[in-house]
Amino acid sequence: MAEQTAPAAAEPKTKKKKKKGPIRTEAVVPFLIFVAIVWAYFFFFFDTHLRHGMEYVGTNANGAEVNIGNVRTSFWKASLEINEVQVTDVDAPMKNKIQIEKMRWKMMWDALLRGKIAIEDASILEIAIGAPRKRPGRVLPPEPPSGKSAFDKVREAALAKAQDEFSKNVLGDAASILGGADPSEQLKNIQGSLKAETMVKGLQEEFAKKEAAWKQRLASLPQAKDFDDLQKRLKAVKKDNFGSPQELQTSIQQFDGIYKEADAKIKAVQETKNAIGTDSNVVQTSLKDLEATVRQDIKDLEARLKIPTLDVKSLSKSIFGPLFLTKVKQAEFYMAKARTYMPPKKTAEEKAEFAKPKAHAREKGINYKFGRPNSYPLFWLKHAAISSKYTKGADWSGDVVGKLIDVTDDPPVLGRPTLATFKGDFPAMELMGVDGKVTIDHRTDDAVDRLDLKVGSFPVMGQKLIDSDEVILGFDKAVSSSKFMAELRGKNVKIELNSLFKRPKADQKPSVTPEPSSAGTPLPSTGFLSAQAKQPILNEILNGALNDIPEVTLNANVQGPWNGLAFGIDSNLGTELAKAFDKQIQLKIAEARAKIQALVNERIETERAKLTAEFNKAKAQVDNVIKEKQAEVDKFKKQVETAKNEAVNSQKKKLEGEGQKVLDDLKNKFKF
Amino acid sequence: MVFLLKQIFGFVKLLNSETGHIQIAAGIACGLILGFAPVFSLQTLLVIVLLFFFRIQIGAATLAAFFFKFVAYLIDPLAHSVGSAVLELPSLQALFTTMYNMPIVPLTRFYNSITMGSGVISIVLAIPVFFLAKALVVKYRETVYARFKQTKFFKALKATAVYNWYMKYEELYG
Repeated sequence: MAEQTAPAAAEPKTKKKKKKGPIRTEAVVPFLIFVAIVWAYFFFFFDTHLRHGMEYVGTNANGAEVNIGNVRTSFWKASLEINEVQVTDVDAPMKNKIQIEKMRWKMMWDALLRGKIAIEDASILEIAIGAPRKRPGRVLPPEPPSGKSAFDKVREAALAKAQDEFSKNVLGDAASILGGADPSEQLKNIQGSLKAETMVKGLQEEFAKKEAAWKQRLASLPQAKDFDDLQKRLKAVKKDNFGSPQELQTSIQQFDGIYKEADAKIKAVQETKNAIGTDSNVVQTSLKDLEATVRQDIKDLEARLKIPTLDVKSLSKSIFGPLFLTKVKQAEFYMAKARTYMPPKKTAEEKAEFAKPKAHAREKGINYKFGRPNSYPLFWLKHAAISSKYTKGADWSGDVVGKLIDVTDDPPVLGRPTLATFKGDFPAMELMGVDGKVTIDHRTDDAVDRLDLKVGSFPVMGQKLIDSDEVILGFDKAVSSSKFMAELRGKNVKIELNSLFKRPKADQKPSVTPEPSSAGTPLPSTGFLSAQAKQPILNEILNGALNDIPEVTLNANVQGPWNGLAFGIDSNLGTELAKAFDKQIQLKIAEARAKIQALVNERIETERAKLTAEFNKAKAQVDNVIKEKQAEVDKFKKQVETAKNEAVNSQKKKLEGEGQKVLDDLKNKFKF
Repeated sequence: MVFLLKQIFGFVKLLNSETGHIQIAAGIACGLILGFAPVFSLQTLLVIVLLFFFRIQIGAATLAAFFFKFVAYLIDPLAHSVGSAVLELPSLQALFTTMYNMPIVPLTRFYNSITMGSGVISIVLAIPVFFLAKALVVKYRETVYARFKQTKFFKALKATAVYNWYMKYEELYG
């Protein structure tokens, strides 16, 4: 039994284990398989998945469908090629907002191995804007509004304020005035008290309190009885025939004591004078403030009665303000984007705020430097070329060339500003001579974003400048050229727009469809400029003025920080209309203003004049009393000084006489 | 962590077997380099790749790295002096400038005096440590482990069912 079972038991012992080599095959083989799978994925599927991902992200960012024809990537060339990009227009899904035939990227391995992205070349070719789509693009539902930063709120508030200012319908208000609306009737309907009225009441109460305080202070001043007492004491002091020097000394001490008392009384008078002077200044300032409040009340009433200011500045602002504000809002949108994605150099405080926590070092040692290893920013688009050819059917298609240089997420590291230049013509839109330059210089603390844009000519058709119930005014047909400059330096914005609108040549037919007005009707096609007003007289004035204008200039600018923008809008259209309105409307406006002034006078001026008179009277009385008291004290002090001098002189003469007598006796004695 | 514990148990087992003394010695030498190098550096990654691809005892390397990390901390002043001397050698300036401006290479942080000093010391010591470790493992097996095998405790342990089951498991699943 034992012999039989022995070989079976010995078998596992004799089974020789396979000798393992130096390479860990059980780890290397799965690793190689994993690498092969990854390679296969990137070779066969990655481009397709990337394309789907880009379409998904693009669609969400755009708010409407984004299609990409194909995407090709190459690991060894570090390149990416995207073809046939179509970005659906959210407002018109049958059109593409932008369509790009080919985009090419080639990155630098040298930078990639340093963990940076540097794009050596990028080409965006055959761009078309507004090209028709084969099928309508899917539009996403709008997103709920996100939270806004404090700076965004300030900026929006500034623009909203400007919007409010420009939305004043000057010509509509003029129409109301011409329509014969009686300001007296409207004024009767205005309820509530005026601000100045409340202020007058407050001032009256305050003045009454001050007057009482003044009287109290005057009563505490030295009276005639006090001066009589001092006079009596002064008379009682011995002024001559001093028996000894000690008597003179006693008299001098008494004079000084009386003088000090008189001096103390003059100080009391002085203090009262100063205190009353301060009160009086406060009251005078309040009266001046009251005048300013009265002026503000008049302005408010004019605004409530819609009495227009028909000067050149106001007319230009009212006519071109909304148009200019649209440009300002567009500039602000792109400037905010530039600051978000290309952050300017951080200040010392900002750097301290966002400093990363440092790990505790074992021992730091010394870092030797042999050059500049980190000269690449994290992202750098070195050069990009853009070109576009005019294609029929696409409204915004044109012959355009442009280039984009040095786009980076970290301009201070790169040390170069981002520049974008483009030139071109859009024949379908009759938009010719477009020449633009964008400079984004975020290298220093004082970041600068600037856009210079020139447009040689473009058609203007049915552009409404004023569109209200009473008046519609705008360009019927015009050819315009424009120069636009927008600059954001630090936190100060400066935007300039210089446009010229000319009457088109007789044979020129703009291809743009006129916009409908708020009432749904286009402007009447009568010529260069046209206007329609409900009031026949206003209609006549406007059309009379507009018929003779050969061209319209617009010079608009805005500058300052976002929370204090100063708008300046000037146009010859404003000048011409102001001239036309001068005779007919100015009289009516003056009449309305006079009525407002009369109302204000009736309710405030009487009280204000009464208060001023009372104040002046009280002040004069107080001044007189103080003057008298001061004169009285001064006179008494003089008396004390004279008496003291007399006493001293009398004693001096007496001593001189005695001395002379002693000298004469000595001479006689020695028979000189 | 499980992988690391398995490797450390593997090290104990291998140490007490009759083979693998070269793997253990290589692991200790690699652990020396790992311990002296900065944790997040290219050379650390290279050594880990070597450990992964070649049959070097990872448990030995891990334990040695842990031990030599403390040694490296103590010799930082020496490493700083050595590193500074090397980095300031005029004949090597051109080489260092090229390396400094190359991609990837700066990730080794060779330009730091302590990293350079520790690197030089660890490479110089790696070869003697390898041979020393090899000799010590052999010596350990001949003296300590051989004597332990003769103890009653070990014999009693070998006779238990648990030990036999363990040996069977080892034979089947390694």
